[in-house]
Amino acid sequence: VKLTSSEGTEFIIDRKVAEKSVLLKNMLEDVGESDMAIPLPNVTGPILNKVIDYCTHHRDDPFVSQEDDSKKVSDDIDDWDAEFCKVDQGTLFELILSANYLDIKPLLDLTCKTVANMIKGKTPDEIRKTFNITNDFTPEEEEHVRKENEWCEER
Amino acid sequence: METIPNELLIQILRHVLRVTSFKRLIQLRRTCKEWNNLIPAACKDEVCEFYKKWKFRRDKQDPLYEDLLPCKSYDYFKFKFRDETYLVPNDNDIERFRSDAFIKQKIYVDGSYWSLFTKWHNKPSSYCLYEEVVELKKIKYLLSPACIIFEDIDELKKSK
Repeated sequence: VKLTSSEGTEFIIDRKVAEKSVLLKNMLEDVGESDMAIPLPNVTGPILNKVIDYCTHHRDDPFVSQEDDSKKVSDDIDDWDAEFCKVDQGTLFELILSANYLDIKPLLDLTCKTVANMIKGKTPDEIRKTFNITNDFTPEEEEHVRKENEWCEER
Repeated sequence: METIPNELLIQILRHVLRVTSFKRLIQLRRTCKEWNNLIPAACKDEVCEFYKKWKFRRDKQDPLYEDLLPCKSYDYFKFKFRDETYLVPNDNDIERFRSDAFIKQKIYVDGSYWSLFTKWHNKPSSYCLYEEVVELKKIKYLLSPACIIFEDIDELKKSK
């Protein structure tokens, strides 16, 4: 199967690897056998390369139902996957967007879990610093939110 | 983080909830306005998925609105319950609640419908939490502040 990234770089991969993506699986089923490259305008070459690495490594994994998968907690990340996710924040977010676009649920879960683990244990202030989030509350608004949720603050 | 659309941010927040607790996640509402809005949605989605026996119903100003509806009908979740909520076991007691200040709701308890009256505080999207087949002890959830409900669910999560 031929895939073309947003910059026009061509990738040739096994059909079984491509079919880890529900989007590609459906496209391939609709189109049938064809030499035409499938354009992926929302995925850059380096990200597509990473996605292919992931799908190749997990090509023989059994299908996991949404219900089974949702029971897994975010700590359940195996060594290969943890190593795979050791990337800069920008790449991690691009992987999330690509996994969502290509409809690769295990990759989407893995990347979301990785971000969740980065959030876990941090205060709102630390999260803002980590992810460069602007605190757009006025002091009064922040105090209002704090009061509204007072019950969950550590006592 | 700003490149991540809301639906995916909700997924991330749900993963945070799975490795922490409602209490910890709700603390993060102070991060920014977007998180303040999305965290309740993440909590609601998680409660709906994992605690299917729980349902939410919305208080309506219209007292004729008495149907029990599944939680999927709602797009937002408020954490605060009204301060003044009364469970009225039979029609004889209802008269004293007949006032515009109270909203009547119907709940199902031990095989029959009871009436629940809640004082109206101009918060049209407050929610009540109830179980469809309610044991009497569960009534406390209807009358409890949401924080108690979430603390109880956190305990349930731990014990699973």
